[in-house]
Amino acid sequence: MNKWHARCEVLLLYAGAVAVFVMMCLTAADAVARYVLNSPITGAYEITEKYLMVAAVFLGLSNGYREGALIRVTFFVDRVPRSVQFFANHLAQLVSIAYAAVLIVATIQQGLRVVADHTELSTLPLTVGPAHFMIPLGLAVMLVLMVMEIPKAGSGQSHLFSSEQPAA
Amino acid sequence: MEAYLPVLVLLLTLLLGIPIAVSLAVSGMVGIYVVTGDLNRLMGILSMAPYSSVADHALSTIPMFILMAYLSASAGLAKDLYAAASSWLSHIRGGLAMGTVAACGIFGAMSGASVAGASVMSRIAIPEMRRHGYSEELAAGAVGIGATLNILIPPSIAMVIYGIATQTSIGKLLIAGVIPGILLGIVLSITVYLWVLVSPSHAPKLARVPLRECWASLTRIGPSLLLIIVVLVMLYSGIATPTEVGAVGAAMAAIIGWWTGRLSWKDSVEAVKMTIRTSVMIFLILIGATIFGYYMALSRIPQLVVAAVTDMDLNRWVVIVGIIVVYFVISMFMDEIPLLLLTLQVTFPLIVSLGFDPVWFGVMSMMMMAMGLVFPPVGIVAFVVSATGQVPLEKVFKGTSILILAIFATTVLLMVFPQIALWLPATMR
Repeated sequence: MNKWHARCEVLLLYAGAVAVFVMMCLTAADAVARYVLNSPITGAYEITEKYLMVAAVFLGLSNGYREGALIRVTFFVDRVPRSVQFFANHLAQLVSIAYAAVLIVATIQQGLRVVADHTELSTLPLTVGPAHFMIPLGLAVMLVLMVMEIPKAGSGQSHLFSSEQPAA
Repeated sequence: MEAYLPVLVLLLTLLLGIPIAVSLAVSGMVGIYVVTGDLNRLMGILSMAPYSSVADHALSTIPMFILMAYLSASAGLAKDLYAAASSWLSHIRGGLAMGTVAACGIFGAMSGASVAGASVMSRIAIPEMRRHGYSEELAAGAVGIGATLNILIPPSIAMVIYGIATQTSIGKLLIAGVIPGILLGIVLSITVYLWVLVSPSHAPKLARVPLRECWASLTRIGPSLLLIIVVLVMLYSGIATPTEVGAVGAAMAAIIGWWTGRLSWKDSVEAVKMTIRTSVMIFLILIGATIFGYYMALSRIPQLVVAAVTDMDLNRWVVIVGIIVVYFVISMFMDEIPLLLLTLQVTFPLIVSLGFDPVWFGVMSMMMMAMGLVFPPVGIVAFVVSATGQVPLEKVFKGTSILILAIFATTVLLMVFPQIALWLPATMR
């Protein structure tokens, strides 16, 4: 199970990485084409917004979780007795799992609605449905890892409690 | 009940160490249900929040600026900047620390992430200052406070998030940070100078670097300066959107790195992976904040707060000082991005109703966060400096606690003379 999960995670991470790289190239090329050649790339704006952004963020969810992207305020829990920490850690893991599960259900419903509506980009004949399904896909892979780590939660060894990686 | 229960849930979940993104979402969900009593409506909001919080072209500025920061760091541009700044300033007492501040500021114009700046500059500057007999307090303090320049000087990721959360022009916000950033750098250098004047043991006097070497160091930072000029000119002139500036900047950082042979394929891939991880962190919080924002809108809490404060008939400067103190206190415990997304929903309508300029308040918010980033007990930048620079945390906090006076002084100047932040954006087209 671990092995399969790790493979899925890496696959999605690299798909997300490709999305980031394409986003950089497409946006830069679009800027140059618009201002230098006065001819923007058709669909660049919408593809970036509706596909690439979603892929870049949601396909990397599981890896982000593994690397400590779910940051916490630890000032209080670091100072309480171990028994309270044990309880708090389990609670954090379980509440995070429940939240991810609810989001999966909600976003699948939304994805099905978008597919049923045949919603397309306004500039290209490209359906938006698959982009919506990237969200539950990324969430599901993260959820599997979260569930596998429930036994490690009490001792604080789940990746939910791994060192944080802030941004700015 | 409508107001208290969700806020209570938020505080409790945050204290119990539940991830900030989850805490915001869960308390928002509780709030939406309490206000509407409609589970279907709640599920409707949850079904749309993740996509609508991410699929927005303006938001793609965030991963592009992050990518630019990681590529610049991986390409070793900071090392050249430090070498140039320190060779010009090393003969002044405390000059290496001042050079560190200058390098942090210039690197900040290529990277909008304080933590990235702190991590990179700690590795480069602290060993050099240590080697020349500088105290660890001064070395770590200069890097820590210097790194906070990154959230003021464009491209600042925190400023982009402020702009998105408050619907304020991101271009104007980014440009508004330029003069306060430079001013903070100057005040910080003066503070370093005064510190070593009072306590010379912290920084021994060093020999002057030969002029030929100084000029040679400048030629090495040519590509970095080109990147900075392109970014600033594009932002200021408005010929490109912030997203496009980020994408062009990231592409330029990669090209410079490849051209100089210091950015390998492996480094580039790692920079992209790091971009995804950091973006995941930010956007998970953004999704949580969006859900919490729905609750705030439904409960009309911001309007109630504005009405309550207006009824108190307080002087608007009393209110702003109160907000600044609250920001400072919360920023000691929370990173800047969740802090912004959490508080702006209440503070921003208040600030606007009191007649303050949203752009000015954006810069002031960054100043408050800059303080929180290096102040005990959490001060995330201080932790990064301690870990990467191999300096005991208490020494880092000692150094930053002295040099933080520069941020205080700059904040007061910004309050007295708001034009410091507002003049440059006012000249934009």
